[in-house]
Amino acid sequence: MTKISEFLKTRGFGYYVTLPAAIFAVAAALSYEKTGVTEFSPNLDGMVATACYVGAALFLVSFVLDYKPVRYAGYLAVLFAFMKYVATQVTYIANVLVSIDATTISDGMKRTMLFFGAAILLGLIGAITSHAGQKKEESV
Amino acid sequence: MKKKRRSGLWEALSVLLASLLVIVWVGSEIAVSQSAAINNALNVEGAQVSRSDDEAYQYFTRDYSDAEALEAAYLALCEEAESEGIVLLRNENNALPLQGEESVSLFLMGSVKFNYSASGSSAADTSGYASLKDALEKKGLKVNSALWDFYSGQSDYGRTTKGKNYLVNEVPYGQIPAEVSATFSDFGTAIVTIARDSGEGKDINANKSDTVDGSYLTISDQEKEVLENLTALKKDGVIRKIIVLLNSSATLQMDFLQMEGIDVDACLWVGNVGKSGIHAVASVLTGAVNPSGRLSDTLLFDNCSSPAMAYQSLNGKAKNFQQYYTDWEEEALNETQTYYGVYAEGIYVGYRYYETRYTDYVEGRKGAEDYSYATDVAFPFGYGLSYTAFSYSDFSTNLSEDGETIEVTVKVTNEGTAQSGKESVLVWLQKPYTAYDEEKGVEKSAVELVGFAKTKVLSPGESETVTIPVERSRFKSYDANGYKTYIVEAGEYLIGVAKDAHEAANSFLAYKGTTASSSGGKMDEEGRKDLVTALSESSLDLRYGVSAETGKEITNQLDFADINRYEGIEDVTLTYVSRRDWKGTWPSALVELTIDTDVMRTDLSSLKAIPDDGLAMPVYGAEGEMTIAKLRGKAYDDEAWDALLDQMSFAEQAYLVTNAQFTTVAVESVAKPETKEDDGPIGVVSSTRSLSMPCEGIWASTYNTELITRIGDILAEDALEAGKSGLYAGGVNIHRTPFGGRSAEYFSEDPFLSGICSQAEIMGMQAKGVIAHVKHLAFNDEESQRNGICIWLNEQEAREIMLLPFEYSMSKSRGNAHAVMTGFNRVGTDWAGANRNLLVNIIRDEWNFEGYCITDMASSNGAIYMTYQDGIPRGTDCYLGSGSATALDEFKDNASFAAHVREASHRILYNVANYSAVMNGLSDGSSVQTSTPWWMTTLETVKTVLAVLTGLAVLMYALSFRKSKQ
Repeated sequence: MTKISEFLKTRGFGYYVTLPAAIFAVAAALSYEKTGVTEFSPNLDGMVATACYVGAALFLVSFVLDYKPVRYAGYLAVLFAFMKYVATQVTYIANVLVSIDATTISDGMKRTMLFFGAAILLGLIGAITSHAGQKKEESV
Repeated sequence: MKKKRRSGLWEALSVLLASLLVIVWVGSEIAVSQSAAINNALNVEGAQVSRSDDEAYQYFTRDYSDAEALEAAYLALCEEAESEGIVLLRNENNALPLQGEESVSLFLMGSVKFNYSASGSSAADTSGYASLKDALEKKGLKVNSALWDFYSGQSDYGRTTKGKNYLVNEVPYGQIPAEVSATFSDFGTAIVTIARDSGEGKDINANKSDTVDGSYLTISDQEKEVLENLTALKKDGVIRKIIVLLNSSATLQMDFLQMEGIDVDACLWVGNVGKSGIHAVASVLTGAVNPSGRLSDTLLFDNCSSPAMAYQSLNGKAKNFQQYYTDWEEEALNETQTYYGVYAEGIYVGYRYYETRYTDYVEGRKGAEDYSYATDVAFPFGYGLSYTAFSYSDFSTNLSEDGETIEVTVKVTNEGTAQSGKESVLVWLQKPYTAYDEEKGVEKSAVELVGFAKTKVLSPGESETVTIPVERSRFKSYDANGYKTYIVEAGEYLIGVAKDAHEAANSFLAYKGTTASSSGGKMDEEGRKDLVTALSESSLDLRYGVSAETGKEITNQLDFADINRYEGIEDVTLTYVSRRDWKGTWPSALVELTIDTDVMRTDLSSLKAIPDDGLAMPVYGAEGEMTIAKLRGKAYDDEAWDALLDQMSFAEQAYLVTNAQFTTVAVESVAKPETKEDDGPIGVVSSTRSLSMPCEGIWASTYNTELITRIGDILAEDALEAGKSGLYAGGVNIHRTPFGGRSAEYFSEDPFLSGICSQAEIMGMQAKGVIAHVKHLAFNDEESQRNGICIWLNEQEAREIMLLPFEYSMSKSRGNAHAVMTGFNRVGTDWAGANRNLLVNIIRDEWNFEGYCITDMASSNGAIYMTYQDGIPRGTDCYLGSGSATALDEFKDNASFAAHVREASHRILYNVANYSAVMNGLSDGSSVQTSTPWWMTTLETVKTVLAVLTGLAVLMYALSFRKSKQ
């Protein structure tokens, strides 16, 4: 226990936000799989979830391989997943914006967007900031 | 340190550029998927076309090349249409016309937020439109500025919406400051504008509004309060008169005219007035124009009194139109499968119900014993007052030699002494309701509009003899249960002229010998039997069971949409309202439906199997020099069209058919230019000067087809000015209930009036080379859950009421519209764009429609059920959506499917070649070169640049990091 707490004391801010980033990425994928099919988009795009899972995996790998490019790759994967998600929902979003049918953004979409936003933001912060504490040198 | 900082900068740049690259890369995919919408928004030309200036190749001409001149003509016509369509409903105590420099106070938020247009496909930018105050002052009236300023400053009040519900949100009377109230005596003519919004996408709420009974179409407590206070002020002599303007395309409930404490002197229905129609309102108020409009809808004291609304009122407090299959969850139905609507009323829509029930009540028919017409109807269909009075005399009829036309003649005299004016003459028909009808469920309305005409302006004392042709085919009724076709039964058919539907009902009763006294007081007015004649049919006539257009037999095509006849529904019976027993058949319970059978499950599903029609695989890419310009004037089935189609590739045909969102794409191989289309029925949305017409109900209320043709003409001119050669107009669904959301874009509750008006509009529009895309086929009379809602109705109502306007619009010998837009809704369980009975058997085989069928917004609202697989083999020719050349690749090896794609392409090319102004300048030698839109090129360039920069930044980051380590 002491060793763990000692270890954790040596970790930087980036270390602590990367795990939540991974969790949110997985949550975004799961939320998309549950709510992504609508009257506007009849099929799920497998690329969305895949990219989320890849991003989450890269975040987790970065705990072991403390390389910034790994974390950046994870962030970019989740960003890519988000953009692909928007692509699948663009006609739904357009219908909301045109506001003829009084369609509103569903709770499912709001939730998915929130998870994506959190995963991207935390992933980027985790990638930029150091996983190692100030005493230990950053490795590439 | 410096090196570390430099490394950090390259790191930041790499991340930024990589992020941008991801966003732009996927973003450009999104943009390409929406290319049709983007091209439309940016007005991008998709092709270079070589055009000739030679006069010989200018197939369609414009009257206005100058935008200002066009606008002036448009505004003049808008004002003319409004002035002829305004209906004067009440005029007591010499309230109207207003005299000289009368001083007026304008009440309610509707005065300052006047209703010019509707939302959705007919939306217009009304920000620069003249106000009611401006219009009245222009006519010399003095307007109470203090009151106007008060209402103008009420930013928290005015019509609004909350979710799907409209709210009135009127200013309470008590908030009018004392210093403003003190001005009323100086501006003693009170004009009260009751305005209501409506538009695409949602029906008007029959409940959950802030009105006296929750219906948006009833007055609110605050509006009532204003009218009560004004009435009290009138009693005290502060206010001299109260005039109400009904500023709504939807029919307001008129019970406020009977409310205690409210005393209105004059009332006019003005509809939505368009860009310049407000000046017509002022003209009518001041007597510069004598109102000549007659109602195109019945105005009611109770908007829920019709059988359609009686049924809808059973659907919970909200009185929603839509019901849902009760087992939708177990069946895992999606949003586009879950809902249905039931048309339990049969043919008894609008006045057909009220006048027939009244007639049966007077005649003592079973089930009509207790009926109070006066409780339901405020102003009958066709009603309209004038500032003068017209009399009718010398009525006669004459049957044409071929027996197919009855010429109805009547002399109209302006009996007034001061005012000139026009009079609309309406011709009515009563068919015999026989024992056979009762047995076989053939319903017959006691009165039906079958002809109309408008006089010229008649001076006081002047007369005009009007002759109105009535087609004998109007005698037919659809017998869905017996002969399964149109029949004209033996019996006595009464034809007469009357000023409105109720007068017609009374005149027919009078002709048959009924008087107010002989009916025991049931008959509320003596009719004019001198304006009626009888024509006898000696025997059953089935000639209308064969199409006059094509010679094909007409028989039941819509059994699948009738709950009682559809094989997929078991153990459920819908009792349609019938005059054989009004009370016994009156809606008393909702019809609850479940998905009980595999048949229904399959029918509701999408991506149905492609029918094997045994068609041969088409030829593609053949050598040849056919162009669509060369085939102008050739018949649709000319062999030359085959040679032309053979030149096309499958990809070209796929792109043409799938990418028709406000366009039909250019096709290089046959030199077809790109066309551009736009919404909507009461104005071109992309109008360069934000021009808009009054609502279609006002056009119909003019009863002036010549005027409506000129409206079609000017709409076409405005479309051409905006660079469009097609208009998604006219709207010809029916005002089935007052709560239909798109009342502004449809003509009337009456199908004949709707059909004749639409015909007139199409004639004007298409003469200029602007293709009319009549909409929405079919039974899309409500907006609620329009995406996929199943409409259940019987065939008689379908043919005689809902489809008749389409038949008149689309039949080759009538309106000959060159395109039709299908609805979002289902007919029974089939999406309207995927049913051969409707899209082939009826519209092509019976009506000889040669235009093309386009979907409604497929790629957004309908992606899950408005599929290529379902629509193309079953009658849809193109999709209002963003498609692509590869969109149909999965079907290219299916010969039947490919053949249907080819035929769909044929229809589009044929109609564009012959009827679109886009062909102007195209000679036999013209060429079309498709091009990539500039925005696509820009995106590709940006992508490439970003990729290169990202690569460089990453490289520099790696190098700088290594250096910083060293």
